[in-house]
Amino acid sequence: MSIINVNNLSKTYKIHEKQEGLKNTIKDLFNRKYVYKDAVNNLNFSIEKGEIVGLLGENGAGKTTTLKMLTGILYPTSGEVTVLNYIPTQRKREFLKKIAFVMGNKSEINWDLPAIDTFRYQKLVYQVSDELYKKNIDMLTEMLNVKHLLNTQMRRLSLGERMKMELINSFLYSPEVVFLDEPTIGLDLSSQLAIRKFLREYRAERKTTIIITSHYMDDIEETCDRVILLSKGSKIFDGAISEISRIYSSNKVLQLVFDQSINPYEFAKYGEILEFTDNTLKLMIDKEQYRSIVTGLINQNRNLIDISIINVPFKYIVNQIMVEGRIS
Amino acid sequence: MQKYLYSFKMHLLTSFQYRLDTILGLIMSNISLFITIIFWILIYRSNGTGVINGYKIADMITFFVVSSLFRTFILSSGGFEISSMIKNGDLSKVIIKPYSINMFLYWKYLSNALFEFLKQFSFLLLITPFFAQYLTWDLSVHSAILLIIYLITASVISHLIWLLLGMMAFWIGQAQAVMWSFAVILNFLSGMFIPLDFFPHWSVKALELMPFAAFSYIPAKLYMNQLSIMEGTYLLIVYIIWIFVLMALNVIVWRAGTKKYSAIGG
Repeated sequence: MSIINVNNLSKTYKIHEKQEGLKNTIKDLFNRKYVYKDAVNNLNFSIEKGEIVGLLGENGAGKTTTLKMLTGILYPTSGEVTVLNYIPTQRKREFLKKIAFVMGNKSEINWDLPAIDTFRYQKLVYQVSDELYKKNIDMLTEMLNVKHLLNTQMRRLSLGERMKMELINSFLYSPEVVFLDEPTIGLDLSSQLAIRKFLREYRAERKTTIIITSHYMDDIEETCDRVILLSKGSKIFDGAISEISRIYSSNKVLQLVFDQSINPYEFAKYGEILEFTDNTLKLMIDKEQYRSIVTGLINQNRNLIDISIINVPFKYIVNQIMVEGRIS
Repeated sequence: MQKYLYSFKMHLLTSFQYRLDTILGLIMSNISLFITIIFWILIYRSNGTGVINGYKIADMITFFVVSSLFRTFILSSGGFEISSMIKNGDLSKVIIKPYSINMFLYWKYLSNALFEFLKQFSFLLLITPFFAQYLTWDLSVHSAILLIIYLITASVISHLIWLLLGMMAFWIGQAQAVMWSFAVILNFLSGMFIPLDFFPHWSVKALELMPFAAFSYIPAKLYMNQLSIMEGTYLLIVYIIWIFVLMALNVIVWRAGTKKYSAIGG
C-alpha cells in the first residue's frame, strides 16, 4: 500500500533578480525584476510502506523542495501530495507526530545544553511514553555508539557526534516516515559509515519508510532499495538500484596499476577515463572489447603490475545520467 | 502544557550556562535605569519646586523603577526570532513540530524575562539603600495581586504584537528595521520615556485604552496607588479583549504568511 502519493506536483519560485553595483541597487529599490523558476516540475511517484528511497539530483534539481512539500513546509504551486493519507500543508498534529525531517545543515538541538535535555523535551512534544522513550534512547544510543556523550554540551561535540544526536532526536518518537536531507554532509568517513549502518539496521528492525537525499552516492547505494533521479525539477528515472546498474551493463571498468607514473591520456583511446591517481587508472570500456584491450596492454609490456575488471560503479552511472539530464 | 513548561525550564537553564555573562548582565542591563534616576534627580534639583506635573521626585523615581522592572516582561524577542527564522529559512525546523510556535516562543522568552527580572531586582536591592529616600513603598495585597495579573497580561499582549510585526518578514523579507522603529513608538506610547499623564487629558484616556499602556504606565500607576483597584480592573478587561483581537490577527497572518514562505536554505 502506498503511503506517499505525489501527483503532478510542481513548485515555482518567484525570485528577485538583483543587478550588481550601487547604481543598480538603488534603481532596484524602485523597479524590481522578478524571474520565475520551476524548482519542481510535474512530478509523479508513490512510495510503499517500509521502502528506503533515495532522491538524487544535482544541486538545484528540486530534491529538497520536494522534501519540503512532502513535509508540509512548502505549499505546492500545483498538484497534489498525500503522506500517510494526510495533506501535509494542513500540518495536523497527528500527522506531524508521525513524520521526522532531518536537515543535515540545520540543527534542532539546543547548542548550550547536553543532548539529553533536548531529548526529554522532544519526548514531551511528541508525547512519547516513558517506556518507549527509555527503550528508544537505549537502542539508538547503542546503535550510534554515543551513550557516553549524552550529558556533554552539544557545542563540545564533533560534527559527526552532533549529527548522530540529531538522528536520535528525530527517531526517538518512532516516526512512521523519515525524511533525511543530506544527513552525512561534511562528515568524515567513519561517521558516514556509522550513519549508513544505522539506517540499514533501523529499517530492518522497525520497517520505517525513509526518503533520503545525498550527494554521497555511497549513502544511496548502501541504504536504498530504490532511487528517483531528478533533473531540473523533473523525474528522469525511478526504479531499483539494480535496474539503474543494468542500464550500463554493456560497459565495464578496467582498473590498471603500473609500477611507475603514467600519462593517462595515452589510454583514452581504449575508453573513458574515470579516475586517475599517479600510477592507477580506471577506464570505462565496452564489455565486448575488454579481452582485446587487456591482451593488447600486456603485449605492449607497459609495466603493468595489476589488472582488474569490475562493474561500472553506481556513482559513475548516476553522474553520467545527471550530466546528460536523461537516460541514454 | 508540560512541553511548554519544560521549554521554559530549558531556556532558563541555558541562561545560566554563561556565568560571566550573567554577572556582567546584572550590572550592564541596569545602567539605563541608573542614568534615568540620576537624570530626574538633576531635573528636580534644578527645577526647585519639588513637583513636576503633579509628580514629586519620589513619585517620578518610583515610576521609572517600577516601569523598568515591568519592561522586562515585554516580550519582543519572539517577534525578532520569528522574523529571523523566516528570513534565513530556520522556520522550516519548527513549522513541522506538533506544537504551537506562538506558545513555544512565548514560554521561551518568558523564561528569559524572568531571568532578566531577577537580575534587575537583585541589582535594585543592591542600590536601593542609596535611593531609599526617592522611592515610595505602599503596596496593598490587592494591588500586588492585580500587578502580577498585569505582568502576565503585558507579557501576552507584547508577545502577540511583536509576533505580528515579526511575521511581516513573510512579505517584506527583512522586518528588523520596521520592528526597531516600532519599538521606539511602543516605548513612547507605553509611558516608558515619560508618564502618559504628561500628555493632554483627552489623549491620556485614549492612550490608556491602547494595549501598550499595560506594559508599564498602568502597572506603575497601580503600584503608586494613583489608580484605584476598580479602574485597574476595568482597564485589565479592556486589555484582555485586546488579547483576543491580537490572537485572531495572529492566526490570520500566520495562515497567509506560511503560504508565502519560501523556506530558503537547503
